[in-house]
Amino acid sequence: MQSSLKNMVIVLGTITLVASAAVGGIYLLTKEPIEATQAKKVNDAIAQVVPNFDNTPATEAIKTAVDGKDTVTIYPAKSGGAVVGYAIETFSKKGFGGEMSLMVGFLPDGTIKDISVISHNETPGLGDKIQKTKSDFAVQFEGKNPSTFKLAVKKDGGDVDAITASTISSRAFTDAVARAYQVFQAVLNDTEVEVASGATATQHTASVKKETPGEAEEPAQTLKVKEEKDFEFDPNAVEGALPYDAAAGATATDTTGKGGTNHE
Amino acid sequence: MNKLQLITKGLIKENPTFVLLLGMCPTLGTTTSAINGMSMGIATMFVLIMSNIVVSLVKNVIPAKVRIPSFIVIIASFVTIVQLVMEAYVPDLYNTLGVFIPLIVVNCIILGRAEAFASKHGPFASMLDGLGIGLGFTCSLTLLGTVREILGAGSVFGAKFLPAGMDGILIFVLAPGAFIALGYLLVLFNKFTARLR
Repeated sequence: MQSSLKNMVIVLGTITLVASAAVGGIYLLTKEPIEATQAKKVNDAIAQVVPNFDNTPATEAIKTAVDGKDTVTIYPAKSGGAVVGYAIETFSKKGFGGEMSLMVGFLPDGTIKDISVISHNETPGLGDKIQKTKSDFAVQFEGKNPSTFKLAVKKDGGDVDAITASTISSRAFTDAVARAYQVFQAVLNDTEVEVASGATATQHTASVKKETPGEAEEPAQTLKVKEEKDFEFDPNAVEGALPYDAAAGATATDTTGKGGTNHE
Repeated sequence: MNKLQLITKGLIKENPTFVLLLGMCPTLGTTTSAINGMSMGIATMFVLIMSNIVVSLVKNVIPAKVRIPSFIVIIASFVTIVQLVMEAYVPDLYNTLGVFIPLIVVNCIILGRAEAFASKHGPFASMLDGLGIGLGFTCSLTLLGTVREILGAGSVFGAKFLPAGMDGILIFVLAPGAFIALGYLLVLFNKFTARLR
C-alpha cells in the first residue's frame, strides 16, 4: 500500500487506539484477580510465620518508613485481643539479583517463629535456596532470638550459616531479617503499654534473654532496663553475663528507678 | 508448501533457536530450568500466533512506511495481555520469568515472522506458521533448560535425582553455562539434522 501522510496517520492512530482499548479492557478484567493474588500471597505468608490468630492482620497493618522512602509493613497477629506475634514484611536490596522481600514472624518476646520468602530474584540453583522448599537454610533462624543469635553470616562474624556459594544471597536474607528485627523492636517500644498488659511469665523470661551483653545500641534500652528488676529472682538466666549482671544488681539496689538511665 | 510443513518446518528446518539463531536474549536468560524454558516458549508462542493472525488480517491496510511501528504496537499489546493474564492467574511463573515477559516485545522472532511471513500470507497460514515456529522455540528452550537443569542442579523438571547434599555443576545455571550449553547443543543439533535439512 502506498504511503501518504494522511493514511499513515489514520492507520497508525487507529491501530494504537484499538490496541490501547484491548490492553485497557484486559487490565480491567485482570485487576481484581491480580489484587486478590497479591493479597492472598501476603495473607498466606502471614499465616505461615505467626501462631494461630483470630484477627485480620492485613487490616491492622502498620507501615514504617525505613531509610526515608522504603516501607516495612508490620502485621500484628492477635488471638482473643492479645498479641500472639508480629508478621513483618521486610526487604533487602543487597541480593545477588536485586531486591528480595520476606515475611518474618516474631513471637512477642522477639523469637523468630518462621520466615517466608515473598519474592526474590536470586539465581536459580544457588541463591534461591533461601526458600524453604529448596534447602534448610531458612530453618536455622526458627526459634532463635536475634538478641542472642547474631544476625550476620559466619564469614562476617555472625551466627548464620551461609548457603554454600551463595554468601551474597545469604547476607541479603540476613540483612532483611535484621531489618525486620529493628522494626520489631521499634514497634515494641511504641506499643509498650499494650504489650506489657498482655505480658505473661514468658514475657519476662524473654526480656532476660534480651539482656545478654553485646546489644548495647539496641533502641529498646529504656524498656528493658525497667524490666531488669523483674529477673532478679532468676539469677541463672543471666549467667555468663557478669558485667551486666553487676550493673543490673546495682540498678535493683538503687531502688529509686533513676539507675536505669545510667546505661544510656 | 502444505499446511503440515508450515508447522513442522519450525521444529527442525527453520528452528528459531538452533538454525535461525533468533531470540537469543530470552533463550539464554530464562532457560535456567526446564519449566522456565518451557513457560517462556509457550508465552512467546501465544504472542507469535496472535500477532501473526492480526498482522495478516490488517496487512492490506497498513502503509508500507509505517508497517514496522504498526507491527510493534500489535505485538506489544499481546505481550501486555500475556503479562497481565500471567500475573493474575499464574503469579509464581510471572515472578520467575519476571523481566523477560515484557522483553518478548523485542524478540526478533516475532517481528521477523510478522515481516517475513504474516505480511505476505493469509491469516490461517500465518497462524500455522506462528504455531510451528512457536513450537520450535518452545521445544528448543525446554531442551536447553532441561540440559542446564540436569547439569547444573541435578534435577529434571524440578525432580532432583542426585542424592541429598550433592549439587550439580553450578556454572550451568549461571549465564556462562547458558552459552556453553547452547554452543554444544547447536553442534549436536546440526550434526543430527544435517541430513533432514
